[in-house]
Amino acid sequence: MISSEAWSTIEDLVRTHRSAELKEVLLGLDDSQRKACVAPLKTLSRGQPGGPDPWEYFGGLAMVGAAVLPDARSVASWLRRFNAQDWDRSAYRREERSLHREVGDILIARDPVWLGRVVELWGERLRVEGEQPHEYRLLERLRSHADVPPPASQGYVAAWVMFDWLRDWRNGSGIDPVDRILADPRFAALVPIVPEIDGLAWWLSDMPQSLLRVLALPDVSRGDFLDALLARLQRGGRLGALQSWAKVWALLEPTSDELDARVTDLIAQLSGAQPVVAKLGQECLFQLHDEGRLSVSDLAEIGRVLLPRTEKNIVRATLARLRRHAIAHPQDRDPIIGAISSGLTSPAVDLQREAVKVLMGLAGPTDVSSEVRAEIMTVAGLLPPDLRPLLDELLGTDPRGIDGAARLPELRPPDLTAVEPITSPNELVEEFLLLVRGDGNGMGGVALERVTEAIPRLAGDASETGTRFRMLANEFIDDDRSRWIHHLPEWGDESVRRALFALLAAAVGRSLPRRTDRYNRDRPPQRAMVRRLFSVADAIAVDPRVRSVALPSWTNGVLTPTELLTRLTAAAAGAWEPDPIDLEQALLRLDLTGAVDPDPFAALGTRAGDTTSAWISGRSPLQPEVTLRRIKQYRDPQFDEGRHEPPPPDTFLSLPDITPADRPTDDLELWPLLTSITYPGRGFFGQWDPEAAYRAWPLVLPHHRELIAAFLIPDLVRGRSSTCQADVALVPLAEANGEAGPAMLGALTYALGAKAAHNRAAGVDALRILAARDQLDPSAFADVLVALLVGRDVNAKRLAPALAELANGGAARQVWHTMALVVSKFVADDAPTVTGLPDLISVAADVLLLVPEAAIGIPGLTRFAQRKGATRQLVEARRLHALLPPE
Amino acid sequence: MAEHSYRYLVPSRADDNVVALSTSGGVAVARSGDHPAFFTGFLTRPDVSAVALRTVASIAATSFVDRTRPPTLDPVVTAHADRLRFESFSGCGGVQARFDLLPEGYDGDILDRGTTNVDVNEPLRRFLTGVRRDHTILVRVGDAGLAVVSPDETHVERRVSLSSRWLRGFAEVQVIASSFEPRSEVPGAVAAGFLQRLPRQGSGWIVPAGRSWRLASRPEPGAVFISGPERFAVLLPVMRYATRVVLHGPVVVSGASAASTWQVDLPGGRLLLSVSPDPYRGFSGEGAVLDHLLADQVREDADLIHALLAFEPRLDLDDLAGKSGFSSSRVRSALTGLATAGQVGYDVAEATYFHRELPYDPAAIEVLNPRLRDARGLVSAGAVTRIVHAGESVAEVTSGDRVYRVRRRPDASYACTCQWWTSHQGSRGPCKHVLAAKLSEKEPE
Repeated sequence: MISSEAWSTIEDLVRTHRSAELKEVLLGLDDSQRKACVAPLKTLSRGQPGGPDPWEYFGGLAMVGAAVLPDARSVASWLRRFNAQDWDRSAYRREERSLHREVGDILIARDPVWLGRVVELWGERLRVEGEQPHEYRLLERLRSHADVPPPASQGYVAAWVMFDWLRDWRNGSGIDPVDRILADPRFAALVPIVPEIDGLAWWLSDMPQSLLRVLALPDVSRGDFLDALLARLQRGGRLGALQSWAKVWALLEPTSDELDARVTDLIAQLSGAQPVVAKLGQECLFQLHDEGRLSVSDLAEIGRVLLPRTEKNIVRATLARLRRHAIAHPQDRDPIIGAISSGLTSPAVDLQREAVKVLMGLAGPTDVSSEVRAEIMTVAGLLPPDLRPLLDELLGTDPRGIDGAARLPELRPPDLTAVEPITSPNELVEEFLLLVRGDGNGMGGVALERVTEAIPRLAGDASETGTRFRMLANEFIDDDRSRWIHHLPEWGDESVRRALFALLAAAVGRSLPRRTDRYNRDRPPQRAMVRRLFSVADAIAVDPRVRSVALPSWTNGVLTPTELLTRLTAAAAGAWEPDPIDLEQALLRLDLTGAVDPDPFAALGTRAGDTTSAWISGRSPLQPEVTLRRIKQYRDPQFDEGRHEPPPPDTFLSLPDITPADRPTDDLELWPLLTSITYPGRGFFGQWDPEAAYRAWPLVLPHHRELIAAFLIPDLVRGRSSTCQADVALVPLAEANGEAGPAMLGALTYALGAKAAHNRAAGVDALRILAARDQLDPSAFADVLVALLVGRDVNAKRLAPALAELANGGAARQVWHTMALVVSKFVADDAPTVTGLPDLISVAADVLLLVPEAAIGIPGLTRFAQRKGATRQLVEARRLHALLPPE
Repeated sequence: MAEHSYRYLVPSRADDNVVALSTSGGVAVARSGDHPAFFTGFLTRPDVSAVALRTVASIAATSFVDRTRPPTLDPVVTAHADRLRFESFSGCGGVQARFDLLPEGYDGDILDRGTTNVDVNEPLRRFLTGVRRDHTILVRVGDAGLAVVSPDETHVERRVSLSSRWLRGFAEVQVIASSFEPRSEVPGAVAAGFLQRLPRQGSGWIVPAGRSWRLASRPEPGAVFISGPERFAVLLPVMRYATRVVLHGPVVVSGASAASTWQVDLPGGRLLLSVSPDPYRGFSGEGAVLDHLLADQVREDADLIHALLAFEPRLDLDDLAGKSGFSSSRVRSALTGLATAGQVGYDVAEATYFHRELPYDPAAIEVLNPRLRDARGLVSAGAVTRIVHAGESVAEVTSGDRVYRVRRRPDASYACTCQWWTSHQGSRGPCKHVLAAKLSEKEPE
């Protein structure tokens, strides 16, 4: 047994980082002493409450574990836990000793029979990511001593490549992989594992020298590596890794014989792979075809796989190849025509048309077998109705009878539901937590309003309900986890979340630190929400009887006069006045459509009643004018080697401008804020506020969509080059009321032209709601589309498929009328040029086919379509022209 | 993390016209053993079945979250009287694939019924890439001809780490899918075009639009939620054969994300891909089984129903009710309980459970649910106090030094004040506090 004094010595050496002395002691242990050390070692590794963190002496723990633990599994997991990577960060860094060497010395001196097993187990668990040179060096030293095969694990192989193959990049440290394999051919078996490790892809594509030398060795199977690389490319995955592996494949320059042996693998990578992988496979296979080493069945298979793809260059090259082969080898026409028929399933009309043309050029009715004819018939239903008749001659029958009709979904106005106040204190706490613990962008407007209304009401409740809520609220405020709330002002946080805390505290007679100097940094709707919440909190602090009166009646933010009258009557009865800003918010939500009688409000004889009566009587603020105008964009100064580059030319963007009406609004707080928009003098730059409750913005002004849209556009503009979060406001905005003018349509157009699919989807959904409510004016929409297209604010290639989705989503008639106007602007003799016009015209034709009864002439289209040439825009214009009635 | 060993007599192999899939472990009705033999016969559409099998195998070898390749967990095959089902689960636990080889897809004999693992190695996978329609392929699942080899003699042994996450996920997906309904469908070629256009990132709802689908930002009638669209790229190779694609999912009324199943009908079979609500959310954490694991009676019923099963491809509730004497709803609950233990699967295409037993220890699935374990601990420690306030029942659950309040809502759902519930709002199953509250409700006052 080890004496307690001896263990104390070891523990002391561990704690004081005296590794040299520790090593000497550990090397002198016998088996029984090792056994006795295990239990105290494990106790030491767990640390003691209030004691030093064992992490501080990981290195010593690793050494003792290596010296005393009884078997391979425990040693391997111990070294994995206290690994060399962490030693570098420990206190040992200050000592000029290499701890992995100490551990290696101990294990090699101990030399257990299971050392090879340690290598195997540790190697299996070696991390692939994160550079761990010490860990790898130690493992390799132990492996070499135990003379066991290198672990065939991804982690070990990754380390081998990173630290030995790329040794030149690492100033020559490490062992040359060629020397390594020559000395120990067992390493050759690891080479095919390399393509399974994506973390190596970029390195090997950028520094392939070692790989090329390794693959030239006789012990290394180049074929196995190529197979593994193809398997990796077939699996798909991250684009960056695939691009790098594709580059590695190209660097290896596979011979024709190597390609010939892998035809089926190359074909298999054509279908599901990323474009870069499909393109690579296509090039390899076409190389074989050029050399006459590809069978017709393989060529047909390639066509069947590639022609339904969306990449136009890949599809066109394939069509051309198949056409050439069919002309050169008439005996192969039948299978080749069958393959070309796959092109009819393409999602792009121009590619479908090209496939039809190739088919028509190659075959007559007698040139195709019944099997291939049946195949064409099956897919011909996917063609647009105007392309189908072109196949009549080939098929010998009218394919227009094939069911390819589109079924447009019905457009239905949104189902608005009544907003129910919260009655349960427990529910209020849950809803409050959902708001304050969630992210600002995801905050729901109705949820926020329900909580805002319920907090003062339940806190002021004299019954048991109020008692319970006050208890829960105080418990929450005093909770340790809520301590950060008190620091929010120090961090400059004056978000909705912070304002909710202030409201909660005020409602239970508490107060939280305040800071209001940050208001101006938020967008006006956000500032309006925050200002109102703080204002209600202040009012409650002065008079606990005050309640919020602005809870909407409907989920779109609209408040009915009846409900407001009920609340103001209750206020009069309770002898309290609503907070003025809260009342202003209520008035901004008040539904004034139809005949609303101001007299009952005036009869209350209260200040709030008088204000409301005046509002209803026509003294509410006038609607400001919102327009789009060209605003200069701010551009980051460019630097080159520390020097300013010449300033880039100014660029401009269509952004909203608000012209307030003249009527004085001195007695209003929110309205002046919400009718003002400014841009920095140096130019506009897109912003994203992670605390902005975009979804709640439409509820601030449910009768003024143009204003809210104007404040959304600067955020939506970000969507052109990245993803933007403001799209969540578009559907609630479409469900609100008010004019859908240039700002609203501009916001939706920016969304339709966004880079991210979910941003475009939100734009389509909002436009569907407008169409369902008969609020989508094609003329106004076309004006905005044209303005933003001409200004290059949106990309027509993104806009076109989004408009097609809108049409297929049920708004075909509105989209057609809009597109007819847009096309007319761009086909006029003096029309401005716009990139992507062929896509717009193509979509116009596709949409017209959905609603042929709505066809109307497009001024200028006839002259445009009659121009000479065969550019795509002319081809698409002729197609559209052919679908229209004569002008 | 448990370790599982695959022991195959020989590696699966493919010659010119024979695919012999080696088997390891599991259960067989007629002849028990470590290497059951289930099928021998020809494929009527070898090209289609080959690419579908390859898809199932590739899912087993894929992680859609980690950048490393996970340890490959071999596909599971279940032989019913009339069909074979091949199932696999992705390394990340968020995607399950199943290929049903239906009677019209083969010309051969089902030799036995049961479930086992099959070896899909790299040479076999490569062979499958080259199979064409005009090839004649004889398939053997479990090579009866090799039965002369001593059962003790294992030629291929491979150990893999069988994480509890993987096991739980396999069980969870069955329970989740049992609540699905067919939401919309389009012809195969149209679905192929949609998949080609689908962005590789993002999330949203797929809704019907014209002849095809579109991606929407909110649920509508027929909507199915998707997230991590790059996960659907695995379907692309098989889509050229698809005759129809049906989307299955829950009937969504709110904007909450949800899992979905894509049913790809093929000549001679169908491929089903079930995907979790988010690439970073494996099925294992969805918590759909937790409520079912609470009920003691369900476990007892499940044991009885289990004794009546014989690897039927479609479990008839009325028939089982008649045999067991249970009501149909009780049988349904028992089947859900069996699904939580991996002993039945759910087929959304035919809206029915089927009998299959995962070739792993089913008991492990139940004990590896930490939320349930913790909830039982809270109840046994007396940490749950029930109070009634203004007609509202609230359970105060003391966990650590904090008190969490679990409220039963008017619609019979539960809400909690813990951070986990706030983050997921019940979309990932109940938290341990809700489970503890439910357990305490069952206890006598």
